[in-house]
Amino acid sequence: MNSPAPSDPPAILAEGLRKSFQDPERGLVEAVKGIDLRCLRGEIYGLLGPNGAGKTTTLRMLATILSPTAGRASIDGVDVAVDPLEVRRRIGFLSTSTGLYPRLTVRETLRYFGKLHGLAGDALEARIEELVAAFDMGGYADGRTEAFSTGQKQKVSIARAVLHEPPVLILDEPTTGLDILASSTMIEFVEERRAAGTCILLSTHIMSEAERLCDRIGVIWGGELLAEGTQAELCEQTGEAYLDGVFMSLVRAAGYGAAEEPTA
Amino acid sequence: MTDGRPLRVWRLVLVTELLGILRDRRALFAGLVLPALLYPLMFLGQGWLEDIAEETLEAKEVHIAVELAQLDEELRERVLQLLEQQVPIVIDELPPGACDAIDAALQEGTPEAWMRESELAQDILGTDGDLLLHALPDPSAPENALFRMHFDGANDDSREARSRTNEALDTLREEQRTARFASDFGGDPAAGFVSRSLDLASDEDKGGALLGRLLPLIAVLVLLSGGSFAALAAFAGERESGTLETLLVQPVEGLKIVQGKFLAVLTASFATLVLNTASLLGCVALGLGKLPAEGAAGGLGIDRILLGALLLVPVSLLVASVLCLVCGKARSFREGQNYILPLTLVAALPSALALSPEVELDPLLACVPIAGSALALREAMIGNLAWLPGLLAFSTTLGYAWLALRKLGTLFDGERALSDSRAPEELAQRRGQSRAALAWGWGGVFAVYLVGGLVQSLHPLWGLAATLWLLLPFAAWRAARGTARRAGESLRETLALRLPAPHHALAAVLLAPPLVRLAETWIVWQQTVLPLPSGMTDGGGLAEEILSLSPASLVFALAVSPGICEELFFRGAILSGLRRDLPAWRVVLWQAVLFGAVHASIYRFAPTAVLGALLAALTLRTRSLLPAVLLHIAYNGSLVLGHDALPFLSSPWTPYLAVPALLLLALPGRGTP
Repeated sequence: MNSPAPSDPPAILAEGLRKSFQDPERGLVEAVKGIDLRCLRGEIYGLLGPNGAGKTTTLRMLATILSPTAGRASIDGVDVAVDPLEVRRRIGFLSTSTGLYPRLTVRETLRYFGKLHGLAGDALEARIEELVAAFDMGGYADGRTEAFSTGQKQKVSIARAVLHEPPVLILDEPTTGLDILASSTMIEFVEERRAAGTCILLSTHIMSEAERLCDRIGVIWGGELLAEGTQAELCEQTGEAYLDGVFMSLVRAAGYGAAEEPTA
Repeated sequence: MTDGRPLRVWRLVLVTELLGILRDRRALFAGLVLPALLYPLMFLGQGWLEDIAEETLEAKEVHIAVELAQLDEELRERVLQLLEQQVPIVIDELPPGACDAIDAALQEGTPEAWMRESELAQDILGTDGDLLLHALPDPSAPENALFRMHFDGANDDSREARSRTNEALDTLREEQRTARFASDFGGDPAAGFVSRSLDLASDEDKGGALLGRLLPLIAVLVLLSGGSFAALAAFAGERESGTLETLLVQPVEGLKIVQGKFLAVLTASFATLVLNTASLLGCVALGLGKLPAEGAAGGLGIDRILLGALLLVPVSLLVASVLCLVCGKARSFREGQNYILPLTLVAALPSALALSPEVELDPLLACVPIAGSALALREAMIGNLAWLPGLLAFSTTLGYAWLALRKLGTLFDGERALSDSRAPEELAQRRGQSRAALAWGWGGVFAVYLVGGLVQSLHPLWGLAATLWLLLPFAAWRAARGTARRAGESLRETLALRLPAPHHALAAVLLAPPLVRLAETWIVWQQTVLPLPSGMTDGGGLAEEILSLSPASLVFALAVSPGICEELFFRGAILSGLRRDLPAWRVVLWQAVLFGAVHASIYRFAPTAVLGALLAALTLRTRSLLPAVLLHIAYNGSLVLGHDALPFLSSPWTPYLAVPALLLLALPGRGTP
């Protein structure tokens, strides 16, 4: 793991990040209730929590898809509210719900998103070839993605997300719904990027994935970050041996009944 | 980079979208190829069918058996001569007396004789005879001859034989008449009164009049069909393939991407229009088909064509942006497809106004979306577009297109496109409530059909009263009770029984006279395409008992009662339930469908559906049921009392009351209590 100099700003910084939605019937609904995050370069940070805990909303705010109701966040030193387009240039965003244009080929897909990122000409073509080679897509790079297997599609999506060589990757449940082969491609890719010094923030509800991949883990529940630290720190803090025990004990300590569903 | 250079983003998105369409065989075929092939197929198919029908019948040899022994020799020769000209024909002259049996049968005059007549004729004709022609002297004027034909109306050959025989006999009749006039009067006494009409319209005017009536409807339909596949692929397809979120994290403003997609939709619909027009003109030029008026398009001046094309520009913009909006709201391809058909109908109806010459382009109509442009296009083709309505139609359509285009920005706004604060369980519950409201709505409609129909057949007046004052309020109470309980509010809140802002109430009353005029204009037009069957009167099938009431009672029975009771049910109970899950525009659409359906008549569907939609929009806008009740009473009351009792209805200024009414509605009213 590359240790960044202490003076470097964190790659991802969130302070008191809140998101509430105005619901016509229920009034104000708070999906995220003030979250603080610091993720460094060369680090994999995992947001661990069940469905509806506020993971996706948090990641979408960091990726400038949603704007925060309160608090502030910056990517690579750029404030998400001040210059969202600059933030988008510095992140690669991917979720398992992400799809591809069925009628475009791999190269056309990469070309389209490359041009949206301002790449052009020989530099773009060279980068596309580099990615086609890196992800071993040469055999089907001129085929339309509609006929692809899940694993092939996953590779195209990953290549699309890192096309512009972003210093920060935001991955929303990157392995949910993937088979073993596709999800191991994903995990290898994430580890490779960490080695290359990229900051990776991912969300997951799979304990084993978090245990294997993440340098630091934040446990999120009901829109709040209950605890944060390395796996060892979390185990020590709660006196549990495994991550699922850590999770349950944190949730109970936060005053939620075990059977209660999160509200947002 | 790109944010400073919108052109680059537009071009990139446009090219990528068009590439997608060109690779989608289904879209390509239905959106581009089919409209282009429409005319050749139509013309060829029509010509082919006609040719076959004509060739086969005209070339066919018909067999005629004649018995002309009772005519004098000269006449007999002439008849045979004329028949022989109807080639190819085989004439079989029967021996004298061959038809005596038929004569005898006819002279009996009994029904059995008629049966025997056809049997006998069949016997004489045998299997290959098509027609039997039998000449008799006229008992009342012996110098005249009577001809009797026996033929088989179910047989093509036999009918052809009849038409050829008729032709021969017509010629004979004409010859005899001329001869008779010449011998009795020395000429035709009516010859001095021959009238000759000459159409002063130039070929260009005639062609323009025809094209002008057809073109608006064709253009709108073709623009819609060409654009809809592009819009579905660009917006609904984007959601379905899960690429929307990816687009939202690109370093380009969402609005620019939407604009690029809009350009793709515009290009596709415009390309379809051009292909369609080229195919029409090409077919005419190649002689494949003919427009109903000779030389219609050829005679049209370039100035009229250019003016027409200019008027179509804002229409194309409006159609493309509305298609984008509609498909952008759809959560899937299929949902988007479900919206296209109603949208096509909504757009086709106002453009069909141009079909009927009775509807004239006035400044108010010029401001109605699609209708104004359609009528202006017609006038431009005829060559008498007045500048004020023309300019109004052009600029207001441009204005509507601009409003729709501005709305496009919201489509790729992450807050709206992706966020949904509501938990899945709550969403499901709300969906359930909307479904329940819809079920109640249809239940109410069928209850009115069945129960209302039954009690009104027992007694028209009391049956109507029972339907309105017992059935509908009961249904309203039952439907609203469920919605209120689930939403945790009182029945009064659910039914929107609260006072509106006074200016909103006033606006509702002001809207009634223009609406009455609109309905009357519609009925006049509808009469030309869907005439009321004779016997059905304006009373809409109301019974004598009701029509003979005093005006005050009539107003109570047909205006006040429905105004209160129908509103309680439709705009009270059903609307609040639908609103729990559906967006406002779908609530309004369902209200139109339900309210049109409950009136159970195809002749009243359109006016009542429009009224239902307006009343629903009014209730949503004012957050109160009262304006809808007022408008409904005022509208029905005006129709019941008519122009004689309410002379202001006939004023040319009445339609303009809509302007202050809409302005008042635009003012803020009471907020949520």
